Amino acid sequence: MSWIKCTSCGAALPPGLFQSGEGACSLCSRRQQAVILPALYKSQSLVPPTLPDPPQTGDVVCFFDENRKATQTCSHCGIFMSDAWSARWGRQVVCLKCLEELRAKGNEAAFQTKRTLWDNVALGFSFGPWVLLILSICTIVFYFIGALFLFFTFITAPAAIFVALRYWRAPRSLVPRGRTRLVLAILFALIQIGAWGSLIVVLLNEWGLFSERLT
Amino acid sequence: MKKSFDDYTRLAGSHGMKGSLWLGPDHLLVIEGKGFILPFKEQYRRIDYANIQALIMVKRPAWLWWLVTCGIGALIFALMSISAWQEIVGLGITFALISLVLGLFAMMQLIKGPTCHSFIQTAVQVLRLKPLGRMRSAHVAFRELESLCQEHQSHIPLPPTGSEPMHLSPPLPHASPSTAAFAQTSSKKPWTGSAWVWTAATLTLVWGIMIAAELYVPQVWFLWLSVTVGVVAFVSTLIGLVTVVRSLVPAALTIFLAVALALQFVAGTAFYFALSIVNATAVDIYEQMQMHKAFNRLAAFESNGTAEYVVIPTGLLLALVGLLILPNARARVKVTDIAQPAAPPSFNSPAAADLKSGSNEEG
Repeated sequence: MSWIKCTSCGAALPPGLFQSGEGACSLCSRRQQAVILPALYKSQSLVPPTLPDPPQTGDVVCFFDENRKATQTCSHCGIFMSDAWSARWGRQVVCLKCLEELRAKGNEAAFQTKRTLWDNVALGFSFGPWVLLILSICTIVFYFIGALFLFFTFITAPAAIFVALRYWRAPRSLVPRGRTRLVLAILFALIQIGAWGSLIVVLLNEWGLFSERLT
Repeated sequence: MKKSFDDYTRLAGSHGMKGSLWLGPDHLLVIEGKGFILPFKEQYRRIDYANIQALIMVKRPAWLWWLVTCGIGALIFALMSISAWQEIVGLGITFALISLVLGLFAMMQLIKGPTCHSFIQTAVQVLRLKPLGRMRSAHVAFRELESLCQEHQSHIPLPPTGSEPMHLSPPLPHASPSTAAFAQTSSKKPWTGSAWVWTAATLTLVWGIMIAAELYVPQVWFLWLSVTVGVVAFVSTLIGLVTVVRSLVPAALTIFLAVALALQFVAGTAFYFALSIVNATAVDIYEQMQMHKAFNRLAAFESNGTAEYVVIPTGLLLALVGLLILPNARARVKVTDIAQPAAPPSFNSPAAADLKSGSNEEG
């Protein structure tokens, strides 16, 4: 049966309700607009699958099931397989074993399911404490906490440089982009480290540690 | 952000937290970002056009709440900034910055337009498309997606007649409601005019002229009248804008009302500034606290030429915007002339009776 699922309460709604393009859920009364596509009726038009004929002598059999005739070749490992053991992935046809491996390892961009964006992590380390500082000032009440975030930069700035250099060659987003974020993170972190260095020198000088040694 | 890479073309979204949508040769690539302020992780979903069963959009009032909250916040912080400026300049600057940020956010909401939640339904999931959070962008994206899905689903045979539950005639695939029809049959009411918009337009026009005349009329009653008209104009414009965004109106009307609101806000703030500056010339604190004396001083204020360059153009601009709103304040087309969209079957129909009694196939 074909249903449109209510996005608010999850109730199954008949597609006829959206014949005009818009309808309200009969359960939660939430109004929603829907474009119904032919695939909704696909399950109605499908006939139950029939078992394929067993392979005859001389036929290439499926690597995974000897009772099935091989009809496909895995684009990745090259084995012969039947339709039941194959999956179409974009323009490639892969066996289910390879599909699982490829998705788990994520070496090929077309099969990747997630990525860590190290350039954003480095940027976060570099700019994060400052963003938190601004946010805390905006709260007015907790503006004094902002000062605490500045101390974080003592750790986060070197961490930003480490992450940026460690993952300099690591793949970034699936959508190609340059290394601008990494460069920005390094530059801003260097400024912060420079500021910390200057502060330490000034403080040491203030306490007379340098002057004593010089004299 | 790139508009295309490899086989993909960008449909919506950016590198931000909401992710992006990309049109592939045979599938839609949904990129979802996870993190705080910046996405630290991306998740990829690939959905074949052939498997998309429906594109669903639900209108949400979030943008109106943001608009009102940020607008009021900006106003409050602006007033706080003006008050604090004379005492502690630093605090005044902080409040002014917050007010500016809130004001910009409110303006951004107006420019981007109504919010919505967009979904795609497949046989195994209903996936929310976060990048399509605005009605305007969602309509455009859905139009493109629909044509691609129709193309990839052209091989699917039509459903057998009468197979639909509850005797509701199913929309045939080739006759499914298109996004064009969908825009026509949106939840918005047809524009029949609004007394609030008319009032807002008239008062904006009148107030604009009054502001321009302010420097030449020294009587205090005129200043009081101007302030009253200004306040009523602001309130009616705000209500008018809310009325307008809930109806099918020409885009120009919404824009003019938004501009009028922004100008009124600027004029009101400038007036408050002027009052504070003039009040600061009072001899002692006791005199400063007497509001009517401050009004007297402001009414008697004579421009040395500089104020004229600001006050008169602002007033005339406001009057012009009011004049532009006026023709659209009333509907030009009668309600009866507007084709009514087909309504879903009423609950008195036999189909609905079946639904109530739970006699459908899966019930």
